[in-house]
Amino acid sequence: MDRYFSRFGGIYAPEVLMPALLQIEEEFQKLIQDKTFKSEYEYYLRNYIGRPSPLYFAKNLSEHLGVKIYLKREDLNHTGAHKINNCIGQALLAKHMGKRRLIAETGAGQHGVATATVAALFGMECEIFMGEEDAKRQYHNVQRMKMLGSSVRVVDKGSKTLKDAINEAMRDWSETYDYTFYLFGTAAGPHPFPTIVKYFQSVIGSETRKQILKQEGRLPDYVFACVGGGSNAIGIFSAFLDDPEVKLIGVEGAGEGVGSGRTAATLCSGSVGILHGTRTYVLQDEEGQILNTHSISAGLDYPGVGPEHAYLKEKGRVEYVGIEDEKAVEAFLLLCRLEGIIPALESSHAIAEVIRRAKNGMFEEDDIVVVNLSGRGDKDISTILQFWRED
Amino acid sequence: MNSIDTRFEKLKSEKKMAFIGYTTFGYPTKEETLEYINLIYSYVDVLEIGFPFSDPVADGEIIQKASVRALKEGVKLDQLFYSIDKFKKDKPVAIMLYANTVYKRGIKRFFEDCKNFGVDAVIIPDVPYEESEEFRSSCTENGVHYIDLVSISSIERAKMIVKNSRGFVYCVSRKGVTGFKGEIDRNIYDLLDQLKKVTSTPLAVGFGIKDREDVLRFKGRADGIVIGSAIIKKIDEGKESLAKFLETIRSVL
Repeated sequence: MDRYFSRFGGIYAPEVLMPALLQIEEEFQKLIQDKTFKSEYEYYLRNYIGRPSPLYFAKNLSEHLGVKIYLKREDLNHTGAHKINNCIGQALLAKHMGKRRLIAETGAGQHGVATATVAALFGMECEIFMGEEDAKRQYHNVQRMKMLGSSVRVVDKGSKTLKDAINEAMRDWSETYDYTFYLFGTAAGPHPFPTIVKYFQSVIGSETRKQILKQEGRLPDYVFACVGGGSNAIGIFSAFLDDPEVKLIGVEGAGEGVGSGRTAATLCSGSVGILHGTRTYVLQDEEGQILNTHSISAGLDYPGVGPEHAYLKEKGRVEYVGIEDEKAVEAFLLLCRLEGIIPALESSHAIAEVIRRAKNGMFEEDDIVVVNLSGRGDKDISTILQFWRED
Repeated sequence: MNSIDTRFEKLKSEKKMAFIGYTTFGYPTKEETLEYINLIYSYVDVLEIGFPFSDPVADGEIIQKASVRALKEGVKLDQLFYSIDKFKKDKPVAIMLYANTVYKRGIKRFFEDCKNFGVDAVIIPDVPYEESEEFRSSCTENGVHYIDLVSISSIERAKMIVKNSRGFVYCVSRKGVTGFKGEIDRNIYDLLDQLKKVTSTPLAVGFGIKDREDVLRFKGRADGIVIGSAIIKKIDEGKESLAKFLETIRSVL
């Protein structure tokens, strides 16, 4: 398995963790060749998660914006987001490796909830690491994790958000790897996690491809997805990377603006560095210290990004843009009102970019647009209310 | 010959273990850090200075807190380089820092600076053997030792890593991060025994070593010990307490 995507990626981890990472790589490679594993994974995708998720033609939104828009409904998955696809896969891998405890980091809480869910399903111990700031803004998800039988370790160090939760989870893992599997939630981190997460999320892309061919008889002109660490985006993009006629757009959380200094738009305003085990774009100062980020969406609030996205940016295969908090909230409301769908704030960023392009006449008349609606927005309601109060 | 090699040879002939003492640059404050560095330097055989990083995944609570504090003090890598000649005399100096700090400065430029400012060795805890080549080769070109870390988590890997090690091998004595938790893991003795069979590079043990009893456990087994978190804790208690601690360690080597 390649450790690198061109010059991005790698396995920059403390030596104590190297045997654990190499073992995961080896076991993953074996497992994905195994028919029993594949059928077990597919069984849970179908019967537990509820896949395939629909590719829904958003008629009202399409009429409103004057372009044909399809939504890949990952919000309809069990637990309400795409995260569960990866969690089922990695939990099966962990079980196969004989681990009895799962740990995970979470920002918005969706990956934490999904991990707690699979831990309950497979009878494993589970501990979720969450920044204090995120635990406050995602109170309900914290309670969900606890109800599912997991413990939640609130991290009060550093910026108290996702990156600090990852640091703390890595520290825990380096002591407990004998019996613990670190269920990494996004397509970042040290090798082999970016590859593993992509593998388990590629189901989004392969379904979308089949569905759009069936519904429209051709490939879409555009695929939009939000990018924090980048797991839902790499999942949906994976099926279209070799189709140059499909334009792929990754939308980052720009916070108060790409150049404002209060942003999480790593690919738009960061530079190449090494963070959390991988060489990729990071938000950093001139000394290489990692900067604090800002996005209204806890799920996008990360100063790094998956290494394959860094590669796709440099290669020019995917265009990455940033959307401000305010625009994401507008998109959130528009989808609520026009389609009766409450989207996650993360996905609202992708919708917002479609709105921006439509308003600026950037689509052709018969363009077909697919947006990965990576999760549902129940978790974000208090954030929206707070945003209005501050406004 | 690198001064680390000279120092270890001398200690070997005296049948003594090397005392490698760690502190974080910029701790407890930007103003006081040089006083503490000078004090520690006067007791140790090799001084290890950590340059703080915002996300130090290999460090435990004590060093992590020291890093946060030092960063709040606004320390810069240039300040560390320019400070070295203020305390360095006859003993070697190693710097410990994370990969991104080196990478951001530019690997080539960083190791040239190490050579020009008198750094004898560099320790990068988040660069494992697999990713070390570009760091190691630039280090070697500048006559600086690239210190390999090995861990009790895999003796077989450790044996592979140490074959071409220079300076000393940093043997991580416990699972987890820096700082102390419970007893020393007995697997460290096995690791040391196995490594001695495949390398003549000195072996230094670190992570979790906190007092004279811990040091005594490695007498005759290791060529050096690394103490970090315990020193930072003593800095919090003041110079007198720190000096007493360093003296105690010194006396049992």
